[in-house]
Amino acid sequence: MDGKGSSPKPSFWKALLHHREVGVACALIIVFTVFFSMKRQFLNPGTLGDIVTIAAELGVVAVGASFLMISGEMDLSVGSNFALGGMILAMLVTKQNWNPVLAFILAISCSAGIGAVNGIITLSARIPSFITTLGAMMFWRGVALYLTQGWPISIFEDVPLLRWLGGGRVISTVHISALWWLIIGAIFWIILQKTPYGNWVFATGGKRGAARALGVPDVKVKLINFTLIGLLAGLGGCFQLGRMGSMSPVWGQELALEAIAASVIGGNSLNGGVGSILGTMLGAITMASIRIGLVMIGAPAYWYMSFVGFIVVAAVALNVKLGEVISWSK
Amino acid sequence: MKRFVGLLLVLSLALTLGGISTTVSAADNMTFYVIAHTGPGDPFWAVVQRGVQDAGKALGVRAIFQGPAGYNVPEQVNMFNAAMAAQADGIATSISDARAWVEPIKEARSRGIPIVAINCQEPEEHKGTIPYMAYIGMNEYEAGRMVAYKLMPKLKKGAKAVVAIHQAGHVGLEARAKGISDVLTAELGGKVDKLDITQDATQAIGILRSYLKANPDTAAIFTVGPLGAIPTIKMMRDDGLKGKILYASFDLESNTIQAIKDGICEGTVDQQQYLQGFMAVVELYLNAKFKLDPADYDTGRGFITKETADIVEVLVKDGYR
Repeated sequence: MDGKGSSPKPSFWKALLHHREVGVACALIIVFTVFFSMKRQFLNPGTLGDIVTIAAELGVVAVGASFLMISGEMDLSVGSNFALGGMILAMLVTKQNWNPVLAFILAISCSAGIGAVNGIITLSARIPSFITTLGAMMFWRGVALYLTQGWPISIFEDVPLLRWLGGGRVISTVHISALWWLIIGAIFWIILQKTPYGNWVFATGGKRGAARALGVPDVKVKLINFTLIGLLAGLGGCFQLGRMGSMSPVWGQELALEAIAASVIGGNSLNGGVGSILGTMLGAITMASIRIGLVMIGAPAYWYMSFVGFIVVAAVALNVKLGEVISWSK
Repeated sequence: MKRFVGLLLVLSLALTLGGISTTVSAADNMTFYVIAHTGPGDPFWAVVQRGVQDAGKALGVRAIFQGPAGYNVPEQVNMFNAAMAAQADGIATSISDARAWVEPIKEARSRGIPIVAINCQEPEEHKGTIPYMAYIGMNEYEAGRMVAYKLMPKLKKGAKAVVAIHQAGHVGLEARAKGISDVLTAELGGKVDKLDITQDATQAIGILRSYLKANPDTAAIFTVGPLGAIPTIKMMRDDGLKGKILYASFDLESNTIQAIKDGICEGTVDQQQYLQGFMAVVELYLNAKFKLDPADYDTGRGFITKETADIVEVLVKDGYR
């Protein structure tokens, strides 16, 4: 570790170490190397298509989770919001005969609204978002179960919108939802890195007092980010509905923790103030790779949890080490 | 840094290698997957997994059972896609959702991968929309007919019966009830009522008691699964109905087995899920090897009575039933 400062190409290494994505990139390379060495088909285009398709549904929510986390809050209700978003779309199309596009707009608006309510309660009652969204997670899951009495809702008719959301494919096994995810990721990356709002997000989650003194509207920033994660959770649910043609009120139960895990693997700090959208997206790809890879090599699926758990801790430890090296080399 | 990455690599390898230590040496170098909507953490599916592994050992092929930790269809579909990507020689899957399985199974078949369905099928109105080659599992309707025929010799002409459903609207349970009802009305000409007893045990007992009060001539009660069986058995014990009303149920579970041993319950239908795992691998193997077409296999022909309850109880403990 301490040899890095005096390595032959200090400028390159220093530049590299300043990227928060280094930890997750290492994790991803290791995961790919291990699986490829055990199963040659792991690097087939078809497999990679499966990986990005799975990563898209998790990743779109994880992008929102990162944004919120950088501003110093978290949302545990995304899984329930995800299911509710998909279910509202499915119910309006099948039971109310709504125009699918209008139904889609209403569904993601409801999800955004749920996010906004989380924000309003957290900020006005001044309770930790962990508590607000824990309650919201249970409340909306209950609502979703009540709405369908526990049954999944399926759309058997050919609805073009569903193909556009996730049913259609771009190339090989890559579903269109992966493309949307890349676009959303790019937009959020630009907002975070290239706009004043991005600076506000970092400032809000970093030193809040200093941010306020500088005139950063921290409450507004948090409220917007709560709304955005709600919107993205609903969108994720609609993507999954598009790919599956069905949505069940019990789906997406592990989503909140998986989205947080993807963010953390990607170099985002739970304390706020630092983070990376690209890292989060690589984190989601790492988790999807583990999912697919374990099945391909025939390992019991339960290893998924152990693997992800291990990588969360290892990637964060690596990031902390890198942070020390960076501050030390300055 | 290097040391850290090295540690990461070693640990990852250790975890993965540990994970596949169950691999059987593959004589034919063939790999088959059985993908369920719930993993072996559920005792029911642990038995299916046992069947899959035993078939793999017997045939000298790699047979892998996979399923998400809890009931999760999208996760199951993801696993199915991964099995396709691994170029499996055949895949068995439970049709856990009538819509979500249409595209994945069409895709697999278009790639020439043989697919059989296990455990559950799409409901009647969507039959034929999912192109799997055969179904290995219990035929719910036929199982209902079977249990009715088993009890029929003990029932008089025109005897009145009630089928208690704990989850109204559940396609599989409704099919079981219809099988019972069709046989008893056709063969005995009696009236068969269907009663929604809900999943709440206290409510179920209340509903059944008031039904029996209103219909004191009821000769037989049927429940369609453990959630209906548990309260019914409790009521029959409390109200001393043993020997007064015939009773039969579905699925294996300790309360039901004890009630059979005590003579309260005539018997229960066993869907023999070990067969669902074992036969899926056998049929896929025979298709891959000799191009033999997979055939439907009704696993639900087991009927546990007082004579067989003891041995079955042992087999449940050993993980075969």
